[in-house]
Amino acid sequence: MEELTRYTDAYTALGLDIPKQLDAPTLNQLLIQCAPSLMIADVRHLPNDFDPKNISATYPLSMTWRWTWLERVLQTAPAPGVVVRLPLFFQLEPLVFHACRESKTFLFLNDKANMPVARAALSEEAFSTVLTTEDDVTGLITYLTQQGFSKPLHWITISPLAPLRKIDLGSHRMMRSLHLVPGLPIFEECEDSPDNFHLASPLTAESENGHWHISGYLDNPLPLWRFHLPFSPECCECSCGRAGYKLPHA
Amino acid sequence: MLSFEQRKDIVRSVTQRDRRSDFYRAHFGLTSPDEHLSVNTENEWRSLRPVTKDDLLASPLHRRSFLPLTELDHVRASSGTSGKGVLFSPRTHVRSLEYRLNFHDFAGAFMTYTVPMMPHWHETVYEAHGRIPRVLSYDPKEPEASARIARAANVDGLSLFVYHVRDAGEAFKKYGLHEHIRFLEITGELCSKTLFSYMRTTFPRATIVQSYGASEVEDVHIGIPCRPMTGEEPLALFHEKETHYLEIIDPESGQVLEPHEGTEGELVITAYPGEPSAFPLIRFRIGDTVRVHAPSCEHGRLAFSVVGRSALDFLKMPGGILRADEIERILRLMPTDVSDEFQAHRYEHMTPYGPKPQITIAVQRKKQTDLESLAHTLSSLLRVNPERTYADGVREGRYLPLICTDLDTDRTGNKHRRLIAHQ
Repeated sequence: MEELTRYTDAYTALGLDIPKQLDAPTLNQLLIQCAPSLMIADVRHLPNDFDPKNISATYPLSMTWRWTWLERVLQTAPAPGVVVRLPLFFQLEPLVFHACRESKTFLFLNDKANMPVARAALSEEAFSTVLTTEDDVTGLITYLTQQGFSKPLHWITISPLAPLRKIDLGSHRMMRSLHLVPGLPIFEECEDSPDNFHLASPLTAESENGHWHISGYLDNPLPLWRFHLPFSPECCECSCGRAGYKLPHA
Repeated sequence: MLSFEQRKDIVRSVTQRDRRSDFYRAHFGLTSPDEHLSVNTENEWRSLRPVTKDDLLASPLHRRSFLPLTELDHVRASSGTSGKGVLFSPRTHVRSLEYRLNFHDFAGAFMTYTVPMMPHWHETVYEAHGRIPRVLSYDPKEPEASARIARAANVDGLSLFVYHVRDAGEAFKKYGLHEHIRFLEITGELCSKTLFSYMRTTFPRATIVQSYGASEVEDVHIGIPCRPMTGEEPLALFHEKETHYLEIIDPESGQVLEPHEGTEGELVITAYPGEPSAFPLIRFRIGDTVRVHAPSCEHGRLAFSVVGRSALDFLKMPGGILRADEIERILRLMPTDVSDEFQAHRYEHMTPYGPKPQITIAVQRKKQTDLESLAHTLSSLLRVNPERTYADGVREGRYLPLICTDLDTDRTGNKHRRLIAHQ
């Protein structure tokens, strides 16, 4: 009950009524509704969609939020250089930088279209990791293979909250994170057990009649309250000891 | 500027045997018994062999960096489009940018491209001056999405690459944000009068400043802007920074020129932001030609303007670059019509949709080939990036149609230059 009050207070502070549950269209409506308040707030602004054509508002992320999963994943990278190929409109450069600092890695921004420069970077001993969107992985692997590039790479991906896609990785490794909007992770792949996912750390989940809802991100001006997942994850035991989920495949 | 004593200390420091990188020991030809290099006079300083991009390219990042890679902040790449390899330059945290507050209060949200400063560097500058670091990234691939995000965040300051200004300007106009912008920093290339005029009209409330940097220089920017851009010539004027030492040399002889008013030559930069430094830069030939101006401001110091590249091998275009070797390659596909000798000029012309570049290629015809049809062919074959031709840029409304003319046999003054960018 106390927790519900915290959510209600957050919504009220933005002049919003707390909905019974959230889904993507409702969240977008709320973001548009509270845009004037967010305009002057001291927050990070994340685009409300992965598709640049559909961006109609921004999601407010707390300035103090840090992406700890990315920090942990980067700590396992064989070399400290991270080639970052995320679209700039995702607004993730400072967040990725902070994760790099914490994991003693460093970033190099690479335009997605410029694969020759990506290859040049990855050919350097200093680089072994690529942080990109899921849909970039196959194209870049194909290009690198055509160029005779054989070094196994460590891929970290960001993708929308949707069933997983099958990607032929060959000798490469990949760690995936699924985001509600770019920069707001919901599921993150387990560092110990590939294919198992965990809820991003500030989130809790509840299921009812096969429908799953997640809540959390209370440090953000607009926390997620009972956000309805567009798919049903399957609970599993994870060797790391945390509650794990198997996510459906497309 | 760095004093002689400071420069002497830098040379001593980077050539010591126990340093992580032996780049300068190898560059200056030190042998293993040498403790370090001592520079005792200005003449000895001037005789130090300048560093070139080729020197840097020969040393991979992990060997060149003076810091362990785990202590780097980020790495920048040179364009990789000059026909040479891609150079990755290491950087630590940002310093010595206090001068920016002379031009803007940085109180509102700021949107920036990654050149010359990464968004997180802007955040550091904000925080260092007690501001809330509300910084957003401008995505040149998505100007309209960027404008919508800027509107949501109430952005009132921009830092853009010169060739992104037109697309950004049109997008900001579309969403009614252009009159809200109070500060506009441009960088990455020389600004033409046409572009300045566009910026002045499009962002009427903005203080416009040009910054000058280079990916190889860890301690950006190179030089402090003397004044905002007003249309007065030269459009952008710079002073030397405390953490730099600038020299001007004759590009042919390498001889140092005294920096009197009117002196023109290639810029050689020594840049050291203090420790930590990933790569102290000593006498780097940056490849830009600069001109010295007499002090006419309250700063009371010599100033310089950037005239252009000393030797261009590519012309930057919105969405790509036009390489000299690409033009040569295409001309060689038509051996009966033209020789492979040419001179290409990039002009910028105002249109109802903002300034647009136009390329004119002067060619040597072997027969009475029709210049209009030759221009059409060249346009459809010349690539500005791996996926796009010049003709694609024209179709997309980014460039004006390519023009061919006859090559003037007497190209006095510019006879050795294949690419010329006109301001």
